Amino acid sequence: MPCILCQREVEKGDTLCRYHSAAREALKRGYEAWNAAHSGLSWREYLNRVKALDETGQWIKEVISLEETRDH
Amino acid sequence: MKTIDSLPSGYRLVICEKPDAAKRVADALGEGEVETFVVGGVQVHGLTRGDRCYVVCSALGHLYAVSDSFRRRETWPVFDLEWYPAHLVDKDAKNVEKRISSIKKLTQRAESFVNACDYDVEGETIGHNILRYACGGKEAVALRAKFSTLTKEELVSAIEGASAGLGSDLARAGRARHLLDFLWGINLSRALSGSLSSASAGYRTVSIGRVQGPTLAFVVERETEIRSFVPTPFWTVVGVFENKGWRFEAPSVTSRFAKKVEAEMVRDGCLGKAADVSEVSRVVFKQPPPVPFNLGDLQREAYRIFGFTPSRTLQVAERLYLDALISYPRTSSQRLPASINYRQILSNLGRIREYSAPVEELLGEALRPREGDKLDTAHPAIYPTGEVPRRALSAWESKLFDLIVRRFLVCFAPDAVRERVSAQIDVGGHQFRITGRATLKAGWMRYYRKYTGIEDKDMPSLSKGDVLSVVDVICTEKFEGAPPRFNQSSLLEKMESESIGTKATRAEIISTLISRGYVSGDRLVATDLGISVIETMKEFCPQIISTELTRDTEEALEGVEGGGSDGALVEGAIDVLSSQIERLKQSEMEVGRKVSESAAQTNLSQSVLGICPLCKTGKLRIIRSFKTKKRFVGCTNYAAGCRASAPLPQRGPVKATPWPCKSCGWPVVYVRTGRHPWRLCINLGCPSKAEKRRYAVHPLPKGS
Repeated sequence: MPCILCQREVEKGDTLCRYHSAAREALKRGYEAWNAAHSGLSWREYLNRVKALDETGQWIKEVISLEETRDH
Repeated sequence: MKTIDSLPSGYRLVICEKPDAAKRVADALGEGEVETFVVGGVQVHGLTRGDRCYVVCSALGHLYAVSDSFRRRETWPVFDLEWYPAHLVDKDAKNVEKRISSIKKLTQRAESFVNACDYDVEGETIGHNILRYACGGKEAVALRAKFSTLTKEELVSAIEGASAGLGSDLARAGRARHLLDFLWGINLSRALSGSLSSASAGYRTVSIGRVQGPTLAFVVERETEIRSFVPTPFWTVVGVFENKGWRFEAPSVTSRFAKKVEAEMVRDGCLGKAADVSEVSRVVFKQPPPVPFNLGDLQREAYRIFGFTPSRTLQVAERLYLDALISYPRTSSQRLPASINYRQILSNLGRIREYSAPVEELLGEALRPREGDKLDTAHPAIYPTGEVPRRALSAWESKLFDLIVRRFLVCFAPDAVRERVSAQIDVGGHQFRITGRATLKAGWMRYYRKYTGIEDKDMPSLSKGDVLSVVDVICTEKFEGAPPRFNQSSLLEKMESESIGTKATRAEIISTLISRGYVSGDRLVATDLGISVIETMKEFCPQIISTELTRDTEEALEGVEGGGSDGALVEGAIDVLSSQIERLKQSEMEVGRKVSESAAQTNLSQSVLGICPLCKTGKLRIIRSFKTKKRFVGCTNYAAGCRASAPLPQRGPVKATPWPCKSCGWPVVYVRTGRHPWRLCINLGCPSKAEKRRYAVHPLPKGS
């Protein structure tokens, strides 16, 4: 089955390819740093802020879009 | 023009690498008139010097190339290689046949031979192959002329003092390098391209070379880091202080705060308090001039200052070398031996108006150049020969020439003397620091000012114990940036630091990665195809793209230059390659499927200009008409009924810009047909064009 974000092959037992899967993990790790820095930032707010930054990587932004779709 | 029959027998045949170099050698050697003959349709130069006759001929770079006997793209692996005349291997090398035939004719009446190709691995290989194949095994008896500039004095001395036995190890190393590069390139490219065909994805050349692989891996690795980058916030704190009417900013000595609350605590702890200057330090230091250029340094500096790509710099530098204006540019050395006669070169440069003043100052002192550590046994660092340009130089040539001349001048100039003043400010236990820099004695900077990038930084006059008022304290949220993308200059630097490729080939390898569609843009972005090729290599033949293997091979090749065995090196490489290729062959279908998907994706993304402004869901992309072969823009939703289309200029590369047209919203493209690219809204009905047409001057109708 292809990755739902880029059509690459998925990792075993996942819906994402290795790159988007790694991006999802990086996004989770990033939340710990952001939460500590801002003390009490919600996951939703974190996603919104990271998505709006120019420095954020393309795969991270794609994973965030996916998260948003799921939430809706 | 005279023919071969008018040449006297028993001449010394001098073989140069390029026609321009041959002309210069002939002009330098000739005591009387230098005559031009046509032999086999190629111009050669005949002259007399003392009681000896010379004929000077030239190659066109490599006249012989490595190939396999099959020369069929579907055959792989191939390990049985031979040297062939280049026109049999490369369809574009049409002029080679005439050159070889001309040299063969000249050989019949020559009594001795001089290899006067550039003295480095490539030049030695070119000369060796000509002497071996075109001259019938003369490589062992031919003399070798060694020179670093094409000035008359050096050429005469090099040709008259040419000796036998020089450079044979360089030639062995060069031939081994060509064999290895071919083995790697042909087998892997055929394997990858073949796997695409096997996966029914049609034929497409997908190549990967011995040095290309690890170089592309650097870009891909950086690309994956950037695409997966999550910026982390941090805060900076800057105090705004006032002293005797002078308001200035000084940052906290803690350069970044990981938590917002920590930064705010510092701010709150400072506001409303007095500030004391707790310490003022003043350091005077000498800043020595930069060292002479080797090729890598020149390429980096030309990129930084002028934006020249490394391959452009090499091309322009070679032109300056062929005009005898600078020394041989393909060098690793940062040293200037005394034998090049600095004083004479400087005196000659003084004849050029813009250098006369610095030269006059420098000649008044003892001349001892500042040099770097890197050494190249074949050539010194790049330096101007002192010759004055005899033709109007192009803008590129003028810029590079000026840079090289000034860099040479500053090597003899005194150190600059600079001062760094730093003041520490205490506000309720929180420390801030302001630093200023000033140039006390410009020294070498006077001659290199426009290229240094070193600037002074003003600083308010502060003394220990001064009491300042705190006007404000500003906390700013910032974000860690992603690692920077490579540009051509920094990628070249990375290749140098990892010891892969050679000074002569690195720039070309980067250009090849771009032309193959593996990377794109000024900031090198790895395409999906580039990422996929590296991903596939990592999975099926990881050794191929390993920096270690490539570096070990480079070291072994350097060993051959120093007298090591080339046979063992090639055999070892074949062993590694065959085992890796075997794995690739076993998974041919899977490899083909993986690479083909990315190839299609890259093709699509490179041809897409933007979202279709008519249907809003399709993408406008460049399409080439099957019938007329002309290119135009069409919508990907054509099958669904969208008829958006636009014509395109038929010449020059077309590249999408990120900005749609302000008047109509259609994509705007860059078209490069001349030296400067121009912007074009592709919509024929764009209102901005109607506006221009209103003001256009139309010819009057006939008969009016």
